[in-house]
Amino acid sequence: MRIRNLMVKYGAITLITVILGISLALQIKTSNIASHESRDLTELQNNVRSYAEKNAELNDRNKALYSEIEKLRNDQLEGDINYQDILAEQEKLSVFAGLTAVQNSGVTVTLGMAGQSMITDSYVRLVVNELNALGAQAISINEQRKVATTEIRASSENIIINGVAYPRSEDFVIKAIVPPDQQDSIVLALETLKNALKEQIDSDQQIEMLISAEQKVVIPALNEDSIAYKTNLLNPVEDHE
Amino acid sequence: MTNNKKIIQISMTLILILSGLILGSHYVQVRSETSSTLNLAAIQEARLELVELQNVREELENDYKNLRKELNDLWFEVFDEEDAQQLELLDELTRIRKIAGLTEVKGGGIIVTINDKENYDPLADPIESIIHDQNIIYLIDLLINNGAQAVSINDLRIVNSSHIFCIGTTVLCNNQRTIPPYEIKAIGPQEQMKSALDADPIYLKLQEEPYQIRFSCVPVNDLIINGYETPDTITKDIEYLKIATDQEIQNISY
Repeated sequence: MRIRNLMVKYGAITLITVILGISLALQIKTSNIASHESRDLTELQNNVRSYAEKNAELNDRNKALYSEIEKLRNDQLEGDINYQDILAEQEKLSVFAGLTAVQNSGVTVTLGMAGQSMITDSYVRLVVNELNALGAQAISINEQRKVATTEIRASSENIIINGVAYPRSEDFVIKAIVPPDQQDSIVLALETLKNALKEQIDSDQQIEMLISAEQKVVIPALNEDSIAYKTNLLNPVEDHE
Repeated sequence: MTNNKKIIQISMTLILILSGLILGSHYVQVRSETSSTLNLAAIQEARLELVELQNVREELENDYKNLRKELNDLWFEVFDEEDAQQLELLDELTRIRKIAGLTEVKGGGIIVTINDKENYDPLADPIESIIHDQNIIYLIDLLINNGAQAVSINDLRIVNSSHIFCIGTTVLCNNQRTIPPYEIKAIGPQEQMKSALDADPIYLKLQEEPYQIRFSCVPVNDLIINGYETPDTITKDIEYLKIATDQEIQNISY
């Protein structure tokens, strides 16, 4: 009789424990689903915001283009075509594309290595990318205009920029035209980058960065036949595509 | 026997405490069920809104293509066909637009897709398991150094004025928010670009434990890359660039 009682007791405890285990597992699962739902919703809301912002911008762009067409049509009807508009457009796009030399206030960074070390392409890219992120509107490296498709890569003892080789053993001069009101803060940000780099690199391979704000920086144009402007692999898209 | 009783009593106490906790938690869960239902409704609503916005985007892009073509045709219409200088000017403008990345282009290339680690857990996973601006910039530099002639991120064309940087969990490119997965399209020498990506030590490492970012690279023969989508911002992009005089250009020395 006592053995039977004990068996009932243990049986009951086992049953309760199993039920408890199942409830616990279900509880965890429900919590996980709730957390997934919340993440999905945030992701979707970000996506919706991103699409809405971009659509608004695209709408403005189309409106501007439509106004341009209307103006040209009116000019055509009145027999008063203003060719200066297209010349101004050409000049503007030429500056944007890097085909025209430009000048204004900016910063100069002279990049070199102490001792016998040679500078690596990644340091040059790092400074250029930092200047770009800081809002530089035109950048040159050793008087080579940096455009969207400018290559900066090491090849043995040189660094190739726009197809031109520069010795890694010599200093690299990076110039940038930046918003005048941000000149000081950009110099400060570059000093921070310099200190961070100095901490990262071994003491026997010290990087040397000379940063200065300049009243006038001249950034040369990139020649249209430069390798950076190669478009031989780019075909126009037909209307029906 | 007394020992057995004690063990049973302690077990029962523990089980009851645990039951209490589960019951309490379940109560909270039931209370939050209403908000969970609301959550599901919000997800459904957001999905519908997204589909609608995607349709609007498609319409806007088609409108832009038609308007751009209309404007180009109109310029050729209003210009004097006999005047070679005027036609040359239009051809020059078309060429500059292509160089500057303002036109849609097509060619052989690759599509690289990168994404955060699946089910990224900020408490357990390293920060390198999510994609940052630097990962994207590194990838673009790698593609350009291997001959890419046109590049885009999530269909935003990379041009001279493109700035890429992180804002929270999203990446800003051409002043537009982009979210993972990041699809980077590049037209250029396919094999050279793919070999460089496959052999890149940084991306090889990032795909392994513990980072496990998601990465794929697919060659595509007729890849289409959009033109820069916000040409009306060009004036702002070059706001501080004054055209240099011949004298200033001559003084440049290297």
